[in-house]
Amino acid sequence: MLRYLLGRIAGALTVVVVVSVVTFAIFQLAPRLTGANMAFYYTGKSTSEAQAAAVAQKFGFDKPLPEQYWTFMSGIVAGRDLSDGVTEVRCPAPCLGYSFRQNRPVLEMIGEAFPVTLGLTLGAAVLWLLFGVAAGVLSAVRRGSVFDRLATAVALIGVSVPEFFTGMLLIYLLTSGPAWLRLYPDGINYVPLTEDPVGWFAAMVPPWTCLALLFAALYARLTRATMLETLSEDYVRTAWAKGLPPRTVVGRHGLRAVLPPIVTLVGLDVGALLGGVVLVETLFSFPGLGRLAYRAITSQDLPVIMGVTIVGALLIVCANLIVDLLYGVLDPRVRNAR
Amino acid sequence: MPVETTPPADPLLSVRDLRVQFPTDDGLVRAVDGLSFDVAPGEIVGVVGESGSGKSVTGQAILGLLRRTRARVTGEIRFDGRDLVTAPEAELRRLRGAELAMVFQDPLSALHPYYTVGSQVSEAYRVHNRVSKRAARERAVQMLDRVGIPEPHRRYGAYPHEFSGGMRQRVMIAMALVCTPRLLIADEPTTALDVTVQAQILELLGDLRDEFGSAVLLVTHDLGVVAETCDSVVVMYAGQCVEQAGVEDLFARPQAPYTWGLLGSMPRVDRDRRDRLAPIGGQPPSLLAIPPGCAFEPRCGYHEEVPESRCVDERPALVHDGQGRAVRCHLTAGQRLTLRPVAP
Repeated sequence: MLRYLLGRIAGALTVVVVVSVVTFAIFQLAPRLTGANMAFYYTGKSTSEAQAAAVAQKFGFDKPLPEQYWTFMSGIVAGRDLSDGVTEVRCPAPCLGYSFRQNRPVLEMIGEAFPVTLGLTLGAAVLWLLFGVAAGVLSAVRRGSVFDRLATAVALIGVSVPEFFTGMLLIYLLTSGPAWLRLYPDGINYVPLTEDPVGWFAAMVPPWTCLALLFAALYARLTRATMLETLSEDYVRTAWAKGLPPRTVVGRHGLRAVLPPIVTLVGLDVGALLGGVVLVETLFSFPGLGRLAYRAITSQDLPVIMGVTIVGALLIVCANLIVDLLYGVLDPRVRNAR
Repeated sequence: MPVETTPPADPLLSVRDLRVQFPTDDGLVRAVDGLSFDVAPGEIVGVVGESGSGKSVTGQAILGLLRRTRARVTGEIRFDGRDLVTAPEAELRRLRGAELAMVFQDPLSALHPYYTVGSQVSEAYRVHNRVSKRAARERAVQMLDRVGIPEPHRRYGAYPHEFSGGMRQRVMIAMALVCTPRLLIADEPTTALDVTVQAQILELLGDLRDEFGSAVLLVTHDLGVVAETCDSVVVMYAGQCVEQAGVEDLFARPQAPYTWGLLGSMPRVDRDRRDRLAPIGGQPPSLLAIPPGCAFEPRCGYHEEVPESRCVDERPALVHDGQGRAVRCHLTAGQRLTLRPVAP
């Protein structure tokens, strides 16, 4: 188990390094290819040529790329002194860059946005797991029943309707729909959990629903298919032959075997969503990572884009690592294999 | 539920005119077609036949495991006086594992890969006995020890993939016998195992029968296994019983032409090697369209001995001789005596 664990962690670290190199390279190369002066991406909105030259000098854009990469990476460890030619700032470690557009360190912005995305993702994951897995198990156990057909139809709708549509529909119905549905007459506004837990929960419910609808449908299909396969396994027949009640056969012997693929998928989906739920956050105007990235892209705020990308990649790698470790816990055959 | 008391001479299990049919897109598959036989308490009965003869399906029908499939089960399966075909599911569930247990062919796929063998054995015990987890654990360790798992205390927490095939089958047997059932159905319990391990497992089954007094219904395609283990034999062909006899009788004086064919295709060391094995020609009939006459007629070398092509037109009845032997064949007893290939 220890070897398996160390192997996975080493693998994850390698991936993080590779991702940082690739991200760095893309964002360094792209402006060079378009011929624009790199400095403009790093400075405030009104920048003079002289200022740009000073920035280029300060950031060392003329230096070889490996050296620039080294500077960037050591900034994460040790912090950096940065300047846009007018103001000098100290970006403390870990420094992911500094946005002169907004005059704030990138890490601080990410730190503010991350809890929003985290709450959105985890809450939605709980919802979609609860409904998706339950619906999938019931569908499999009562294959061909009215419930199964109904669930299949609902899942099909859930998968095919894009989240921006359900999102807009939800916003419309809840804020200016019929009076009995107008639960949010003042709009759906994000409130930090630490300030007002009840308000936070109330504001989270619509975007949770919006996200969960899509994923619950996918998970219901997956659970149904895996469960059907499992229920025809020999060891499930053994469970019946022991005289176990259906509840135990399905809930203990069946569900246990369905768990590993579901856990894998949850890990990957949650990891990907943590990097930013762009559509839903933008739609509901929730200040999460997705909206941060979206805004940075539209205003060409390069340090922020880079920071969010690297953090997003890091989150996906972490999620993968957790999935791998959980897999070792869930599947004794994997545990012993290495 | 009043429990009927039966004198020990009565059969523990009595199957009468059992039919198992699977409706499919191509038609009705008659997997078991009017099967009858008895198992006495403590007896080991072999059910022999080729693949597709309905022997495994019979085992599963007795346990009521076909209820969750689309199979249609009719006829009568009397276990200790109760009819299992019509018994409510709740009653069957009480019997499964407690009075009727089953060992399957492939112990690797029949054991849950994610639970330790010990927890699977003690779970089987706890379903039917209101005991603490600790007591169930002790009982499971004791059973694992009894079936020959070395260091049962330590191996209790091991997973199925950490065992060899033979050890896994021992675990399955421990799980099946943990509640000391009165009937154990062993469905090809040695087919997936090495020959040396096979012998050990068969010996274990015999020992355990003596110790626990469980009757065993041993489903197999291997007459060698039958000869080694069983007290009596049911030979199945196309879902029907074609011959039933005590094991020594069957090997010494086989009556049905199909049994002759089975014995002729069995390798034996005491026969001259230049005598080739005589496989039965042709294929068993499709279970979608079993011939209206004798199911074995198309492959039988003796149907011309019976006048008026009765073998083609009329299904022979299973005729009992009143001394525990039964045979399903149109040949007369005298004919069978003269036509039987000479057994060494």
